Amino acid sequence: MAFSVSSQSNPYVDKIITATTALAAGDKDIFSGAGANCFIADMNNSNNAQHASYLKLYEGTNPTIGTTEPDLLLKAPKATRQTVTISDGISLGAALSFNLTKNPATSDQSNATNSVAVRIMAE
Amino acid sequence: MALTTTFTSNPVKTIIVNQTASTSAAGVGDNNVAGGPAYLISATIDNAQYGTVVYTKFYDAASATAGTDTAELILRGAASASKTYTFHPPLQFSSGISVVTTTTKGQAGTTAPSTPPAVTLILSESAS
Repeated sequence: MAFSVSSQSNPYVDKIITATTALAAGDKDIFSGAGANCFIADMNNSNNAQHASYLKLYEGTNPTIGTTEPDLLLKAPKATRQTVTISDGISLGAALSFNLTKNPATSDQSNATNSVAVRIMAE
Repeated sequence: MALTTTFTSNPVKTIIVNQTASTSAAGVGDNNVAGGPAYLISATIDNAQYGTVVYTKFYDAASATAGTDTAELILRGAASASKTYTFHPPLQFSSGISVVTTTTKGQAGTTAPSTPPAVTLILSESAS
């Protein structure tokens, strides 16, 4: 599980979080204890023609994957690159963590069959 | 709690669903709001009158009960604010769209907000 954070200089958003292969195990506490105001979530599920994938966003530093309920559940349909834009962003003030699973249930910890790239634009 | 669904006659067949007070009655909100399958273009959760975060849950089903059925989409409504989520491409619900709003997050939550937010959905009958 690997993500990168790149800072942008434009006035709209400050950071782009990129997970080239988002996993069920998740990426936690992206900003090391700082919160995030998320504007855009982009999920490229084009590699998975057989199933949708689900991005789960958590406000917290260490959600228990499979148990902790997510704050947002976003769906990328099968063989689809799905983008969700949020007006003025949605603030996860305590911290930002996320994971991606094959099914929407909170308990699900199955990885997508093929890689799903996730990008989150936040400030 | 007043739900209105407006079917427009324009060529893209936009459907506007407005619920003035989206809530959860023992896990049940508004079922099959578009009267059938539809594509979700945008969802506005107007929680400006309520100082508590809410969660609006969307089920691909003609009827659903929060805490029992599995939502396909869960959107967070900020406290004392209105948020609009826009989907590109529009998100398909092949069986129907059923909506519940709670103050408890995730799949399990069923607690109704004491001041339910207004939820407005812009839908389409087709993907384009």
